Order: sequence, then structure tokens, then C-alpha cells
Amino acid sequence: MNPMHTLFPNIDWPEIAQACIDTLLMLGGSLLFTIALGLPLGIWLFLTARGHLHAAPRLYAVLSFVVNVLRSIPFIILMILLIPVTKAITGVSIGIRGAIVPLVIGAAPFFARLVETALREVDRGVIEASQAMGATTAQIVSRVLLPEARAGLIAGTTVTAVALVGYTAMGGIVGAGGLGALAYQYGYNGYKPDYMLVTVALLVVLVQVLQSLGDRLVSRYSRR
Amino acid sequence: MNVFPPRTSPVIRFAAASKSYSVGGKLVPALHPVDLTIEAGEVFGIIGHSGAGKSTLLRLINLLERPTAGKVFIDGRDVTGAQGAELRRLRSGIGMIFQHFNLLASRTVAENVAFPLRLHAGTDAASVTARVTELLDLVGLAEHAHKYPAQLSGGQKQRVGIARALANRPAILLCDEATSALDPQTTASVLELLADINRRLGLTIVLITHEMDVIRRVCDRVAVLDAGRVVELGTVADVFLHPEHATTRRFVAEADHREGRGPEFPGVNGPLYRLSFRGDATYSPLLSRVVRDTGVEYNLLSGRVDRIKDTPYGQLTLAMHGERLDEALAQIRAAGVDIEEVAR
Repeated sequence: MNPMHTLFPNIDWPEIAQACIDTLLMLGGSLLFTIALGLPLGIWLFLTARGHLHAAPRLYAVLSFVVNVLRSIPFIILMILLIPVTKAITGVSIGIRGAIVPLVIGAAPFFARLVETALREVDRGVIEASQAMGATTAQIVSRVLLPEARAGLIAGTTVTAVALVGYTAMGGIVGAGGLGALAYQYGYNGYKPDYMLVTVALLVVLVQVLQSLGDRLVSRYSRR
Repeated sequence: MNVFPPRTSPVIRFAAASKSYSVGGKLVPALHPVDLTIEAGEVFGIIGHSGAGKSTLLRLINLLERPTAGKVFIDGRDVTGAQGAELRRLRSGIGMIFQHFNLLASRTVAENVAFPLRLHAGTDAASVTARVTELLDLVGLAEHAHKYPAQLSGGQKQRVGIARALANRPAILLCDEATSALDPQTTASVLELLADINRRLGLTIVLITHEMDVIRRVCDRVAVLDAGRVVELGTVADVFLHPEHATTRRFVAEADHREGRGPEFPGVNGPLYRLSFRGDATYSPLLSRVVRDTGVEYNLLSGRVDRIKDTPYGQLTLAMHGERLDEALAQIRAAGVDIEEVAR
């Protein structure tokens, strides 16, 4: 008899594999869009803050408020609130593609704050030196701020990716699919502890892999 | 070897330039209206305590700070309102080095030096590489081209800063406390390099410092800044040997390591004189000749013989007495030595 079957009598392994793929797809897709949206937003926050390159205190206050509001809403509520938006953008309200919209809306403001914090770590003197050399703001952002803050940005991306793993699992409860959905449906509602164990273990492994990959990149790009 | 074809050096002129900062809704003056002209090709020092406004004054030149009122002229042109591309062009013609070097930590030495060259469209890779090599040779860092700033000493970092500041062949070099973070020996070698650059490239150097010794070693002229005002201005020799303002006197005293000690010498009789020798007079046997001729006696109480940039100078405090004292003093004056009576 198959020992896997003895240990985990209820588990349908192909289904687990599919759930893994779904989770990775949601994670990859949402992380990509989160960066695409959150990075410019974070740069914008940084530049418009008081005393920075393009200080605009009122604009900063508005941006900051929007970011804070989005970060305050519990993700599960955000998902439900965003169903009409999701439908308008993707044509579906649920599933992998449908989950990506609320995942991005939930994570991008969070990532933007991490970007802003990472950019603030860049030595002001270095920014002043580039201004003194006649660099444009675009050049300062692309050639000074982003490369100098690279380690901090990678660390922020890692934290965001890990947070997204948690969000995708939550998304599973309302029908987004993936490992979270299996844990909830079979493990929790279906009283199948082996399902719970395997899905949670896989999520732990995923988080571990993401974190150690992030840490390795951070130490590789730290030049201080 | 002249690797930089000298450009015509501009004159920097401040016309009633002032700067105030708003602190808690109130305007606090950092710099009272300053009228000042910096001549082409000179090494001009601005000395002051922290908060005296020297950093603000320096930054008015490349408009990292905008004057609240008044104007800044470079080469006769009013640059006060320069914006956008005009401002960037102005800045690329003015190099700047900093107390904390401000190098890009994520880039190698060579990439740091190449940075200002690559800011301008149309610079091809080959000419950038050639220029970087030339500059690293100039500052003596050729073998460190592929290191990161974190792997360098303070003095080496400042040399990278200097190479970077010179990359676009500026006509003006601004030095913001460039040696304040360096040990005395490294300070000396960096100042030597700056003096050498000034001589060879003929560019105008404006430096700010809180150390009179930096002024003495490299500057031609100096402005003393106190609480946002220029309180003394002149050639370094004049200001150094005959400081007028209390702040200047303090700076000079610090440089002479006689901080906190007045000119009083208890138990010494007779009037005290401070003799200031300059140039060749410093090394001539003047005193012994005067003593032989007039029979006065002197007592050497304190003194220093050194150089101001390339000019030797000496400053001695003497107690002198004798019947023919006036005659002796006249002879000393006639030899071109300044005499100040410091106590009676």
C-alpha cells in the first residue's frame, strides 16, 4: 500500500498540485501588478513629502490619506467591496484572475509605504550631490534613489510577497482557489486534518523560500 | 601635463544676496545681505562657526539654495532665477565636494566618476571611459577603479569626490567642509591636491571651513562669517596677521594653538610688541642687526614661523627695552615688518 495514502488518507494529490499552481499564479500575478502600481506610488509619496525634491504638502496629505484608508480596510472586506471593480476589470468576480484585483489594491498601498521608507533611507547628501551635478528628477530617481535603495526595496518586496501569500489564502475562503481554499474547504469545513496539515505546510515552505530568497538578494546588494 | 584645457574662469558676485528660513511661521535670517566678489582663478575661503551661514552662502552659488532677496552673478550673468535646463547647465559647470563625500554606495569608484558624464545625452561610452581614467590618474586612484566606496579610506573617498566634481570640466569648484571629516595628515594631502588643481587647471575654488589652518594652507583670500554677516574680508595674510574682528581673532588664536591665552605675560617688564614678518623678511637676520646697531634688548615671549599658502611669514611677540627703542622700532618698520604694540 502507498505510504502516502496511509499517512494522508483523504488527500487528492493532483488537486493539491493544481492548488499550488493556482496559489503561485495568484502570487506572481498580484506581486507583479503590486510592484507596477506601488513602486511609482511610493516614489510619488517620497518626492512630494515635505522637504523633499518636489515637496507638495497638500498632494502628499491626499496620497497619504488614500494609502492609509486602503491599508486600514481588512482584506476580506476589501475583496467583497471590490467585486464590482473586479468584474469591470477582469469580467469575472472570483477565481484566480478575479482575486488579483483585490490582492493588488490591498497590497500596493502597503508596498508603496515600504518603498517610501526605503527611499528615505538614501543619504540626503547623495541626492544633494546629484542635484549639484545637474541631474534631472527623473535621473535622480532612476540612477540614484532606486539603485541606492535597492536592498531596502528588495526587503520591502519580500515582506509584500509574504503578505500576499497570506492574502491569497484568505482569498481562498471566498472562492479564489489555491491552497487557502483547500485548507478552508476540506481542512476546516470538511474536518480533514491531513488536508489542513499539507496545505499549511506548503504555505510555510512557500513563505520560507520567499524570505530566504529575499534575504539573500538583500545581502548581495548591500554595499555599506 | 595639462589634461584640462583651462576655460575662462568666471567671477562670482553676490549682490545683497540674503537668505531667510521660515521656522514655525517666522522668517529667521540665515544670511544677511552679502555683497561679495570672488575673483577668477582664486582660492576663496569662507570661515565661520556652524550656523554662521557659510553653508548657505556656498549653496547660493549653484542655487542649491535660492536667495530670499538679492542676486547672484556668475561671469557677469544674473543666475538667480535659473530654472530647468538652464539651471542644470549652470550646475554641470560647477563642481562640488562634500564633508561626507556623498558618493553612490551602490556604484564603483569608476562608475561614481562617470556619473556626471552620463547625465548628459550624447556622451559615448568610449569617451566616458577615457575621461574616467584621466581623472582617476589625476587624483591618484587608478588602481582602485573597481572598488566600492565602502572599501576606501576617507581620504580616498574625498579624492573620488574631487574626480567626480571635475568630470565635466567645471570652471568653479565648491568645497563644503571637504576636509572636516579627515585626519590631519589626510587633510594636508587633500588640500595639497586642491591647491594643485587650482594651479594647473586655473579653476576658481570656493571653500567653506571652520578651521583657520585650512584657510592658511590653500586660500588666497578669506571672508569671515559671523551670525550671517561677513565681518572681515581680505587676503589671507592680512586677515591672519592682523585680525580685526573678535571672531577672526578667535579663529587665528585656534590656529596658533594659543586658544584662551591672552597676550599677557606676567612678570615681564617693558612694552610688548608683536612683529609680523612676511615674505623674504621672514628669513633675514633683521633682529640681530637692529640689536647690534641700537643696543636695545629683547625678550622673545612667543612666536611662530610658518607659511601662508606659498608665502613664508613669522609672528613674534617680544618685550623690548633700551634707550634707543624708538630708533630700533623704526629700523624694523623700515625693513617692511609690521609692528603692533600689544601691551605696555
